[in-house]
Amino acid sequence: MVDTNQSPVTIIRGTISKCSKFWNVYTSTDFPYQPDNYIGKYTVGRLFLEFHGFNKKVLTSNLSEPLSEDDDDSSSSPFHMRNNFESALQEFRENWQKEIKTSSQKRPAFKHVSDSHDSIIDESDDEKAERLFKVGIELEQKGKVYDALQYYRRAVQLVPDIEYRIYEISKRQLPLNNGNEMFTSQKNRLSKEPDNNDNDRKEDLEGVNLAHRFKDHLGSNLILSSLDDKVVSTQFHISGLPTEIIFYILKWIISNQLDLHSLEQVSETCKGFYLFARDEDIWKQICKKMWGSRTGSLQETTFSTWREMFIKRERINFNGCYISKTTYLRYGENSFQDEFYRPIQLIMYYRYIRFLSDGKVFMMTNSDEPHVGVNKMKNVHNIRPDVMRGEWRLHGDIVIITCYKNNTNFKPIASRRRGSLIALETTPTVTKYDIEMTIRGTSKKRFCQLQWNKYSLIQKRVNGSETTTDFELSNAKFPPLYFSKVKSYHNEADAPL
Amino acid sequence: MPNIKLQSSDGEIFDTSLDIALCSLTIKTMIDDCGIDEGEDTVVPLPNVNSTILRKVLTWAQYHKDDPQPTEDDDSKEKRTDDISSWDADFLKVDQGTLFELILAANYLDIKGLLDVTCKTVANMIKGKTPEEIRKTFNIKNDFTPAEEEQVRKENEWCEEK
Repeated sequence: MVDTNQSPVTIIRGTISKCSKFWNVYTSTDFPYQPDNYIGKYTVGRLFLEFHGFNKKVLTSNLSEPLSEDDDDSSSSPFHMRNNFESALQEFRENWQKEIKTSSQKRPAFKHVSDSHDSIIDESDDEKAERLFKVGIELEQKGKVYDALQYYRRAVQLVPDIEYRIYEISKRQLPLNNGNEMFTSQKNRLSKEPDNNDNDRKEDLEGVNLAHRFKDHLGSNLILSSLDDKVVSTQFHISGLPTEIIFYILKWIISNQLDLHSLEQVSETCKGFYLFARDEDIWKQICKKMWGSRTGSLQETTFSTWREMFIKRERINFNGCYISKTTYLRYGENSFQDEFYRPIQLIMYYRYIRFLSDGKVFMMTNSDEPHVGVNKMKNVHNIRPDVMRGEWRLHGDIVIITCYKNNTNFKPIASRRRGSLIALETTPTVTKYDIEMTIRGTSKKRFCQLQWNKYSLIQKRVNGSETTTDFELSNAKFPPLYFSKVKSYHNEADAPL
Repeated sequence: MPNIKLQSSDGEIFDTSLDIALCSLTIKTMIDDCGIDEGEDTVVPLPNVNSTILRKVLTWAQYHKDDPQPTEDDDSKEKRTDDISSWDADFLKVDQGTLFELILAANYLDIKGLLDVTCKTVANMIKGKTPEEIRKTFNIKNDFTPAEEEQVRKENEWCEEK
């Protein structure tokens, strides 16, 4: 609200917003100038002059009838004219203030007629709302969300889109520090000071919900703030892409292999991307990919977010390979010539298991060193014949793998090639491997270990008889498999999530 | 195949074979809805695409017009190759701004194949990079306070290497 005790000169020299307010009221009483000509950052000087040029005429003719007599008497004397002017102005101010009070209560619909008028008339509401909103922000940052909400609500009642506006103002503050902005930006700076101090003191953000915090910082325009305006570029910036495209790109980043490491790296780049990368819908899809129909809902579990579920619940990793190394000694044959020489052979082999997110699993046992071995399972569309294929599923912390021996898998094709069905009939058995393993973690890394629970081989003969053989799972022969990340498995996106 | 005229945002007219234009589901819908007859001299306005980008999009569509339509059944998923074809890779050797504009155009024109290959290219530019490298690549400002950055890093620790 404009202070009525101010002299006319101060009003004019004040901020544009105050002048404009003044102006706006004049126009309603047929002031001979259009207000639009004067609302702008460069018209302060001109406005001042015009005001002096026209004050007498306007004030006497339109505003105060009794004073017009006075005016007639003293029109020749500049001193009297000034007195006249002062008192006329005084009276006008009072009238005007009343008018504003009633009009702002009576006519909220007027607000949306034109943007420039809107901001002029509601300036006081704006400022109040802004102040309330900022108190709310401070309270929320201190963790008093309930108290903050009341301030937010009051601010929103005054100006429905205050959140967006505050963001806009803070965004324009620095580049356009003139005209209308000057007033608000000074206020902002004052109210922001405690904030900056907080940051200097290195605030403790433990337990603070960063997503909410950043949402408050960014307002409705999430990613625009990420443009680095220090670097001059005419190129189209990534922040210009619509939200759904950003999400689509994120899904390509995560891709089938659930490359969450890359997703988390993205969240560390800036506030806007943090909010995108923490989006619950994305994490829900990630969870569905991992646990399928067994995912359940957040209510059924103790997790508060989908992201928390993914991080804490037992799962397997897709972006690498589980490897175990088995070594044992075997006594060789006695030497023919020298019976005192008896060789002992050290046998060493590796077992590799690679899980795919679509429910497939590859298993391979051979003597290749890991850097060779993992390569053999790299191309999932063209897998080598010595790799067993199967399917996996998760039951709590137990992963169940079912594999079939390769040659039986391709049996129908093989038999057709030979042009007879005899080949099919002579294949005596279907060999199935049933494996159960428990997901364990180490102190350093979660869920990086698979321990053998059960390993059985089921042979099904054509005549229907089934024989099941359980392997003896001694730790020496079946040591746990450890996960190792394989970069080449996921450095290229294959399909969106 | 009859031809169709497409008008870019800057007013340039592209006389294009209809089967190329139909790669865009947006154009297809427009034609279906408006019932454009063959031989009729209609101009389809595309106010969201400028001529430079439209030319690129049409080049892409020309090359890919005979691609099988993506279907949802398992067989096509099985065949899906991991690599961006070398033609596409060459086609997408453009500056970042153009790449983003191609994404916008593909999204507006509803050309799934082009949208996929462009988004995948952007995704591959991000995958495996550190936050600082990503910022550099895309000219992104780090607007975290040191405390915030530390907190985000803590939240992300679970997926870091030992």
